[in-house]
This record gives sequence, structure tokens and C-alpha cells, in this order.
Amino acid sequence: MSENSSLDPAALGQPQPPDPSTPAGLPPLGGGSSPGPVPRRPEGPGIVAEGVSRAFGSVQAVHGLDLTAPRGAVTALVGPNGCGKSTLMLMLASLLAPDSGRVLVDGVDPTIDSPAVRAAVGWMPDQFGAWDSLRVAEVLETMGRAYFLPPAQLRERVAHLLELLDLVPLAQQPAHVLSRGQKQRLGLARALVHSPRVLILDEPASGLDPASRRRLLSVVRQVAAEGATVLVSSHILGELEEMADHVVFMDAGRVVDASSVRELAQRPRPWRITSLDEAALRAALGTLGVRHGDVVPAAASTSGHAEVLVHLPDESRAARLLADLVAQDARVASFAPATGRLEAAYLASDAARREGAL
Amino acid sequence: MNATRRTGTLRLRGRGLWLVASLELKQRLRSRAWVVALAVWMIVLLGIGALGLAPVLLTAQYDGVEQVSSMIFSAQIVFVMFAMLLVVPALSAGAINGDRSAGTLATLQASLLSPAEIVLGKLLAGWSTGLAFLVLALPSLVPIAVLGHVDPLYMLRLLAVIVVLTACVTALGLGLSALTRRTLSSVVLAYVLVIGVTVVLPVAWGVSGLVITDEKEVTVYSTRYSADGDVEADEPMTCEARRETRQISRLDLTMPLMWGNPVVLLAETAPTVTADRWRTGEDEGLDLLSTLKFGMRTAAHPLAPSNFNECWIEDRGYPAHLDDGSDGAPLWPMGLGLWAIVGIAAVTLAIRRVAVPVRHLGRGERIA
Repeated sequence: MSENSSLDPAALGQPQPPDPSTPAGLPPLGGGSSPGPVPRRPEGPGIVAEGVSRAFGSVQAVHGLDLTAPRGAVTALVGPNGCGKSTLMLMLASLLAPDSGRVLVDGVDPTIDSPAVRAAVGWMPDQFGAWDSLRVAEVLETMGRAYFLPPAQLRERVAHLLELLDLVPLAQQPAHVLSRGQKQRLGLARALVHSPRVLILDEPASGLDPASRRRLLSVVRQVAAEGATVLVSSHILGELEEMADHVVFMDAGRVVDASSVRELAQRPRPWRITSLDEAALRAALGTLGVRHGDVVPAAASTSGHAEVLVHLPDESRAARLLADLVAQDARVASFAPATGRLEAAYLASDAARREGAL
Repeated sequence: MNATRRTGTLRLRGRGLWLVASLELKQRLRSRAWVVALAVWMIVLLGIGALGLAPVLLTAQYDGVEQVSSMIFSAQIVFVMFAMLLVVPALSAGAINGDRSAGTLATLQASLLSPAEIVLGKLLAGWSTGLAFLVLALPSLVPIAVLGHVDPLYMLRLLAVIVVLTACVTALGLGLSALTRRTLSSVVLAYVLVIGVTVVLPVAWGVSGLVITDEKEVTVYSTRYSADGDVEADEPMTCEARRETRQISRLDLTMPLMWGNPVVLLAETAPTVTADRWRTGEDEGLDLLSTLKFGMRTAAHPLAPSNFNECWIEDRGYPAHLDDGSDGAPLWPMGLGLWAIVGIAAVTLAIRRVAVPVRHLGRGERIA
């Protein structure tokens, strides 16, 4: 396990701070137009943290953290409550200064040029705070004006985001009547209003219904596909696995592991095998010499088939075992990972072994 | 890293300022409680004016209308100012910590709005709301002022003092709101400070007059009665001077305690009354504030010769034109200057506390 989570080997270029009075230059999602020339994007990763520490009194929230999040990709931040994820995100959003170390967002240090960083970042906090008496559309208009968007672009952008996040029926509703999930959608729209180059989402899926989660996934992937750096924290690991390209595991204010989600496939995890015939399954496993857990009889399993858990080092080994079981006529009904790649990697960490880890 | 820091903390753009102010005002205008409060305010003031004038008007004592109206006007303007001092801290003292608790401050801080735009926008909104109360008081104040033949310039001076004080108290509330974590704390603290200036300090000042005294030899002017007490009605009595040692209250030494007092500042706008005119009763337009102004100027000059003039104006040898301190230094520049310093300091503090990225967080304080 490495403390340095560099995901992009590209060397950091010399950043050119963008003009903070101009909204960041991502083209609007799903169409629309940005007036004027698109500012040149700085080279290098969208987010870099080098030896960052931050304490609140005696509590060391973030401790010597190193992290890199590339452009055009979604990086997931995973860790137990209180591990420093939100503190890190506050520092990246230019709201909190690190005690030591350095943060570069879109190539700019927030302690050196905070307006440039704020122009580039869209931040969605874990707790949605809205002006209760404002209507949904007004919240977005207000945020657009807070980024000094030209009126015509603002109107177009608000209309587009309302549609993108399925908020059109709620546009004239006061923000305080929204459900938690609806507020989360509004929060995401708010973070996207100025087409940020770096999107920081703190628990965006919290309180979302399944359809809204699919929409969130689609929107986040789209933002990344358009070249933005997306950093997202969530406790819903299954969703992060679908959403993220890279994952960074945090514990006690440090990065304890980092990988691309694709590489996680090469890590050990449990696989669940179900069979129509318990005896055939036992026999096949015995013949193949596979170490496995207890075989659960069909009568005691939730699937109605005989089940067994097998720990396999990677997916290629899993594919070979499946072929061998079929060849041994184990009457396999299903063969699938018992946990997601992300969950398996997280469960293998020290943080997961503590009470209330996620 | 040797780089020039570019925080943009003090950047001020009209659009940013207006956005924050309109955001605050919009929320207030949509709250039914504020509409009710404004309506009640207007009705109460109209009621007070009517109740004060009604007896005079009903008994048709039109000779007394002007004097009564002038008195009611001055009383009402003091009432308006006290009411503003009650309303304004409630408007501004939760503007920053309230938004921080609601999670909306961090959203604005993370945007391109500068801390100066956020704080001054809130100040503008709080001030405007306070002035709305003042504007709603005008339908009651103006007719009474007309009946009392109140000088329009005097009225404008009064309104100007209230406008400035409202801005300063709003700024004070904002500063406290930025300093404290809980809205309740900042509101209570704002009221404690306002009550301290308007009530506690005047009491302390009064007590100081009993404690801080000087023995001084002064020239006392008093009426000389004949030795046998036989005074003929037509014969004027004589005013004579003598040297006497008296115990003098040195209220002038503790006068700074009263500089910031809002009532004193209002009184400073009243027409100056001289001791001679006070004695002759020439000032038909005498009201509460001009009386207070006369009293404060007298207290500010405890050794002014006029203070020891106990003669009647009809007395032979009456010492006219004794220095009465009325042309001494006015109190309002110090008072308004003090309030301006407090207001500017409070706004500066608020801007510093809203500036990002935050380096120091208070105990238990959260950004979002």
C-alpha cells in the first residue's frame, strides 16, 4: 500500500491561472454555447495535493496527504466517517487553507489565487444549504450570477440544468419543499452552473432514488468525458464502482491505497457460485482442489440453489474456474463476484475492520 | 513559494453587491412575519401621534397645537430611534452565522463573490430594511412636524442621524454575527451593546457626576432682597455678584460616556437654546431634544459663568450674555465618529471572517 496515490504519471506543467472573472470554459453539458473564447486549460492533473495537513484543534483531520486526480476522469474518494474526505474537499474548493503542504486545483494554488480556483471549481457539499424562500430556478439563477455569467448564458444554462437533472417540474417550487433527493439534484445543478473544470462532489448520491442515481451517474460521466476533473466521495461503493475511473482510499487523514478501478479487477475478492446440484458442486470443487467456504444447501440459501463462496486472486482465475466447473458438470446456475471490486478492496483495508467504517 | 497572493477579498463589483443585497431582501420580503411587523410598526406610530394630538385638537385649543405637536414630534422621533435600535440588531446579527448554520454562506464563499461583496451586500440589505421602518414612520412624523412648525432642515438632520446610526448598528450586528458561532449569541450581544450605550452608560455618567466633584471658587449672580424683606411691587430687584466656593459636578470629564448615546446625537441636531433665551421662555418651539441639548451643553461646561446666574431676567443689573457653553464644541462629531469607527471596524472584522481560504476556525465552528 502506498501513501502516494499518483494516478497520472504526467508531469505537472507550469500552470496558467485562468481569468477568475470569466466562468470556466467547459462547454455546457448536452449542448448550449459559451460566449467568447474558451480559456486555455492548464496542463497536468486537475487536482494535486502534496503533503497536505489540516488540524482542527487537537484533531488532525488530514495528515500529510498526497493525491492526484487526472483530468477527464472520475476519482472516487472512499473512507470511513471522519477520515478527512470533507476536509480535503473544503481545501480543494478554496474554502479552507491547509496547515502545511500544497494543493493545486486546475494548476493553481488556492492560497495564492483563490478567485482563479473558485472560478474553476464546482463544489457540492454533503449538506445542502439553500435559501429556503427562493424557488428552484431562482437558486440556480442566483448561483449563476454569483459566477458573473452573462444574462443570456445564464438563462440558457439554468434551463439546460433544470432539464438535465429532471428539475423542470420543480422549477417554480420553493427550495424548502424539496425532498432530500431533489435537493441533492439541485445541489449538483448548482455546482455545475458555471461549467466548472473541476467538480468536487461530497456524498452526491445520498438520499437519491434509483432513477436519480442513474441520472447522477450519467451526468458525472458526461462531465468527465468533456474533460473535467471529477472528485467524488460516497459510501455507496457499488455506485462509485460504476461511476469512477480511479479510487483513493483514505483513513485517519491519509491516503492508504489508490488504484484505477480497472486494476481492482486484478485483486482478490470472493465469488459466489450457485449450483442446481449440491453434490455435483461439492464433487467438482473437490476434484479441482479449490479451497472454499462451507457449501450452503439449497434449502438454507436465499437463491434456492446450493451456494459456496470462493476467494480468487483475480478475474482471469475466476474465468478459468468457471470453465473447469462446467467441464466437471458442477451444474453451475450462477458464478459472480460476491462483492464489488471497490467494496472488496475497501473491506481488505484496516479502516473497514473498525466499527462504523462506512 | 514566492508568489503574489491574489485573494480578491476586497474586490467590489456592483453586480456582486446587488446580488447579495437582493438575495437577502428577497428572503425578507417573502416572509409574512416581516410584512406584519412593518404594518404593526406603522399603525403603532400613527396611533401614538393621534393619541398625543387628539386631546389638543378636540378641545380646539389651537394656540397650543404648535407647542404640543412640536413636543410630540420630538418624543416620537426618539421613539422611532429606540424602535430602530430594537429592530436593526435583529436584522443583521444573524446574517452571517445564521447563513453559516444554514449552509448557504459557504455556497457564496465558494463562488466568485468576494468577501467584501458578501458582507457589504448584507449590510446594504440590513440597512435598507431598517430604513423601511423609518420610511413607514414618516406618515406619522410628517403631519405632526407640519402642525408643530418644525423646521424642515431640523427634521432632515434628525433623519440623517437615524440613517447613519442605523447603518452603524447594522454593521455592528454583522460584525458580531461574523464573530460568534450562534445567532442567539450575536443578537443578544448586539442588544447588550446597544442597551449599554443607550441606558447603562448614561446611568454611569449620571453617577459619575455625584462621585467626581471639584471645589471651585466661582462668581455667583443672585438677586439681592432688601434687608427687611419689604419689596415694593413696582421696584425691580438687584442682581449682584459675589465670589463663592461651590462643589461642582465634573460631568464634563466623563462626557465621552455620552458621546455615542443615540438620544444625545439626536438632540445635537436640535436648534441651540441659549441660557438667556431659556430663562425668558422665548423659544416657543422648545422641544424635548432642544431641552436635552441645552442640558448636555450645560453639563459639558460646568464652569460656564451662566451656570451660576440665579437672577431673574427682570432684575436690575441682570448679567446678560454670560458665557453659557452653548457655543462650545458640539458632541455630535465625536459621537458619530465613534459610531463610524465601530461600524467600519465591525465590517472589516466581518470581511476578514468571511474571507477564504479560512486559516483559523473557532472552536466548534464549521465552514459548511
